[in-house]
Amino acid sequence: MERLIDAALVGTARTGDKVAAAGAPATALIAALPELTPARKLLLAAGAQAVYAQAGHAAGAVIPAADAAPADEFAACSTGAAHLLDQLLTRDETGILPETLTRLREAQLRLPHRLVVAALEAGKRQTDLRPLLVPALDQRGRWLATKNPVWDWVTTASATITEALPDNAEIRWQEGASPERLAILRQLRAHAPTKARDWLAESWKSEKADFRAHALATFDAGLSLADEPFLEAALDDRGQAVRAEAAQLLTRQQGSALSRRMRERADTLLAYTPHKRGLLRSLAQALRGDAARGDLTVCLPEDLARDWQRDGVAPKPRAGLGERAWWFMCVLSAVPPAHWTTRFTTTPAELIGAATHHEWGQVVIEGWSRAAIATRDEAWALPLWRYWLGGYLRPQQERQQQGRVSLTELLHGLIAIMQGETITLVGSDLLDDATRTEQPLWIEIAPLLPTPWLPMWGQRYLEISRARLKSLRPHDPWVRTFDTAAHALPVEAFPQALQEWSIPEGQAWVTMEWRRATDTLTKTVALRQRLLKEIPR
Amino acid sequence: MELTAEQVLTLAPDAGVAASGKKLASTRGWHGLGRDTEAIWGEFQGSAQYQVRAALNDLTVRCSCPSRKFPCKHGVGLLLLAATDPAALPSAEAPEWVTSWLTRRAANAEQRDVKTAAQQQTDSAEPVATTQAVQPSKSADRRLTRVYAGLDALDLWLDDLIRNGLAQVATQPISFWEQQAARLTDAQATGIAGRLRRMAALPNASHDWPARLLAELGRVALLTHSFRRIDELDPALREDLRGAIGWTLTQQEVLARGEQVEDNWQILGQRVSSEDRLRSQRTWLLGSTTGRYGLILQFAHGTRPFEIPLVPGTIIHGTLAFWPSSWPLRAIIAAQEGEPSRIRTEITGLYSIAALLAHVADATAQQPWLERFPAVLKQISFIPNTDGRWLLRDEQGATLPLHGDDHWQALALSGGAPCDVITEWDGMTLTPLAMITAGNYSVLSGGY
Repeated sequence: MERLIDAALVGTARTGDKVAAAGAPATALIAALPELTPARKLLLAAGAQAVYAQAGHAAGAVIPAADAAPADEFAACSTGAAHLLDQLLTRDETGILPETLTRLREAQLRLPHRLVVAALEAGKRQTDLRPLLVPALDQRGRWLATKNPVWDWVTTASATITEALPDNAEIRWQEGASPERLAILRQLRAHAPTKARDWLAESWKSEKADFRAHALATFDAGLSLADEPFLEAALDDRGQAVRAEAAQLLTRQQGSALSRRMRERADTLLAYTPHKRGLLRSLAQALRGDAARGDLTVCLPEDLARDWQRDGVAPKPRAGLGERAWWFMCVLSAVPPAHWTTRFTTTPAELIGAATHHEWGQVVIEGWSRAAIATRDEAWALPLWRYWLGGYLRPQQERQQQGRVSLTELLHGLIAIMQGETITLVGSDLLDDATRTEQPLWIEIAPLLPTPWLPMWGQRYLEISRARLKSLRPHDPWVRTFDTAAHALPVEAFPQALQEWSIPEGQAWVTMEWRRATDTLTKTVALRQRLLKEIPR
Repeated sequence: MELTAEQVLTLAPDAGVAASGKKLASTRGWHGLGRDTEAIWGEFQGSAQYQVRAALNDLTVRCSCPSRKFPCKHGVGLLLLAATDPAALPSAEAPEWVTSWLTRRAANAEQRDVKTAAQQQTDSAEPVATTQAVQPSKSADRRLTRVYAGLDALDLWLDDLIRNGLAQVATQPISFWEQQAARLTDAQATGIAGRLRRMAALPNASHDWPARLLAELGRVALLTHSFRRIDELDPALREDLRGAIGWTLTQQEVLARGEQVEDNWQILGQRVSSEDRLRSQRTWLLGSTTGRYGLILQFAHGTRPFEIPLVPGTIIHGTLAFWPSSWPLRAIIAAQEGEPSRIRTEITGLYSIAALLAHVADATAQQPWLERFPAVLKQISFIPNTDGRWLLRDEQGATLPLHGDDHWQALALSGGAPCDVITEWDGMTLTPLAMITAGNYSVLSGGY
C-alpha cells in the first residue's frame, strides 16, 4: 500500500505502472483487464485495497482494564429532584441551586450519574458552588474528576471539606501548589493541631509572607495555648499581615500573655464609678425610667508604645478617627467584654448606658462590640444591637459618627452571635419598625438575618408586604425586600406567599415594578416548594 | 406512554426548544391537564392561552401557539411533564379540541392509506420497469445516458488526478471538489457527488490523508468500473451499485419489491446531521425476534419535523420493508401498530470486538460499498486516553478507537465498568449512540 500511495502522490506520469511492483491486492485481476492506463490500474488497486482493509480491519492492541469508580456513599435523589437539578445546573435563574444542593447534602442524597458532568462543569464556572457540589458528586463524580484535568477543582474543594486526610498528604504538603497546601494544613489542624504546627514550623522560614499569613489563619481550628510560643514568635515576623494574624489569634486565647498584656493596658484606659445608690435617687431614676448609671472615665493613650504595636495595635488609624482614639479602640477590642462586667460589677446595659453620654462613647462601644463579636459574647449582643440600631434610626444629618464606623458591619457581626430568644426579639423589633416607617430598617437588615426566617417573621413580613402593595406608592423601597424574602421565607409561609398578589390599578411603571417583584417571589417560592417536596429530609 | 425525559428531548427540533421545554415541564402555568388512551393534553398560559395536545401512538404534537418550531416548547413541555410526573395528567374525558384533532388525524391517515393502496395497485397492474436493464422506459433511458456521460467525464478527471499526482490536490480549494460534484449531480449520479463532497475535507486533515483520499478515490473508481459491467452482477448487488451511484426508490417501489419483516423493532439509536439547512436523520433498529438490523433515513428542511417520530430507546411493533440489497439494511416502516413502549428487556449483541469485525467482514464481502455498520456491543468499557483520544475495550482487552473526544457522559454513567453500548462503525472509528447501564437506556451525544 505504501508504494501505491507514493506513486499516487507523485503521479503515474512520472512513476509509470507500479501496481504489479507494489504487490497490490487483486493485481492479477487488474492485469487481466485490457487497455487500462497506469493511473486507472492504480485507482482500481487502491479501491480493492480499501475494501480489503475494511473487511480485514484488526482490533487495537490488547490493553489492561482501567480502574472503575468506587461505590457511592449516598443514594441517588428522586427522578423529580433530578429533573429540577438538571434545570438548575443548566440555568439557575432564581438562584436556588445552593439551597437545593444544601438540602441534598442534609438528606444524604447524591446527584444521579447522568448529571455528574453537568455538575462538574458548573463547578468549573462558579467557585462559590464548589463546596456544595462536592458531596453531591459523591464517589462517581470525584472519580470522574480525576480523569479530566479541567475538573481538578474537585480535588482542592474536597480537601477543604472532607474530614479524612488523604494518604499522600505529606507529599502534597511538600510539593503541592499553595491552595492545595493550605487545604491540607487546614484539615490537619482540625485533627492533629500539633503535627500541623510542626509541619509549618519546618518550612516557615522558606515560605512567602503571603503564604505565612494564610497558613497562620488555619490555626483558627484547634487553637490552644500550646500554639502560644509559635504565635508569640510570629509577632516579630517581617510580614505585617503575619503579625496581625498572630496577634488576632493570641487575643482570642484568654490565657495567653498577649491577652493579659492587653487587659492590663485596657485597665489603665477605662474606669467606671457607679453612682451612689441612695434610696431616693434610685426611686427618682426608676420613676423617670432611667437605668441606674455611673460615670465612665476614658483616658486615651498619649503615644503608641513599641510593645503595643508588637501586640497588634496598628499605628495608622482608620480614616476619620484620630490616632489616639484608634489605639484606644484597638486595645479595647482585644479585651473580652465580660472582663468589664466583672471588674466593675455591673451589667452590659448599664455600661453601654453610661458610655452613650460620654464624649468618646461611640469609640468605647465600638471596641466592646468588636470584642463581643470576636468572643461570641451573647450577653452583650442585644444591648449593643439596640445601641447601634438607635444610631441607625437617627436621620442621616443627626448621626454623629465617630470615625465612620460601619454600622452594617457591626450589626451583621452582632446578629451572627445571637441565638434563640435574642434573635426573635431583634426580628420583631425590625418588623414593628416596618409597620410604622416609610423607610424601614428591615430593608437593610433583612439580608443579614439568618435564614430561613422564623415562621412568625414570614407571616408578618407578608402581611406588611400586602399592605404596602395596596397603597402602591411610587419608589417604595420595600419592593427591594422581595428578592431576599424569596429565598428566606420559611416553608410555613409558602401558602401565604403563593396566594395571588393582586396589584391595584396605578401608574404603569409602578405596577410593573411590583409585578416584577411579586413574580420573582412567587416563582422562587414555587420552585423552593417543589425542591422541599422532591428532597424530603 | 412510558418515556424518559431524555427520550422526549430527542424529539425537540433543537437545543433551544429542548431547554425551554424543560422549563415548562412543571404544573406551573398549565390548566386542564389530562389524558386518555389516545392522547394527552393541557392548556398553557404563555403570552396567550395555548392548547397543547399529543397523540400517544406516534407522539405527534399539535399546539395552537405561533411557533414555527415543531414540536414547539409547549409540546416538549407537555411530553416531559407526562414523562416525569405522570400524576399531573389525570385520566379525563378529552375536550373537543383534542377529539376533533384526533378525528382529523385519523381521516388524513386513512386517505393516505387509500392513496398508497391505489398507487400500489397501479404499480402492480402496470409494472413500471424497475430494473432498467430489462426493459428501459424512455425517461429511464435518458437518465442512463446522462449517468454514463457523467461517469465518463469523472473517469477522465480521476485518471488526470492520479497521473499528475495527489500532492497537487493538497492546495486545491473546496471548489475544486465542488465543481466536479456539481457536474455529477447534474448527471443524476448524486451518490458519487456526495462521496466527492466528503473527500474535500480530507486533504491535510490528518497525517495519513493521502492514504485515506486514495482509498476513497479507489472506491469511486471501483464503482464506475463495476457500473459498466453491471449486467454481470447478481440482481441484489446491482441494486446496491445503482443505489451507490444515485438511483433511489420511491416508497411504493420499496413496498412492492422489498422484503417485508414484521417484528418488535427496538429503536437502538439515532444521529442527525445537517447540511445547508437540510437535516438528515439515521435511525438504527433491531428486530427483537428476527435479530435483523434496519436503517431508517429521514430528511427535513430547517426546523421542520421528521415525518415519523422515532424515539431512541423505544420499541415499535410493525413491519419494515427493506430496500432490495445484497445486505439489506435500509428500510421504511410499512406498517406500525400500537404505541411505542420503552425497551425493557436486554438487547442482544456481540460480546467481543473480534465478533464485530468478523461481522463487518461478512457484510463487506456481500456489499463492498457499505459505509456504516450498527452493532450492540455487550460488556464493553470506555477508556479515556491521556492524549484526548478514547477507546472502547472488550472483556478480552481488545480495543477500537472512538469517534470524537467527549465521552465523559458515557464514562460518568458507566463509572468505568463494562456496559452495553450501541455503536455505529464507519470502518475507522466507533460512534457510540446510546448505552445501557443498570437496565437504563441513555442516549449519547456521539462524542461531539
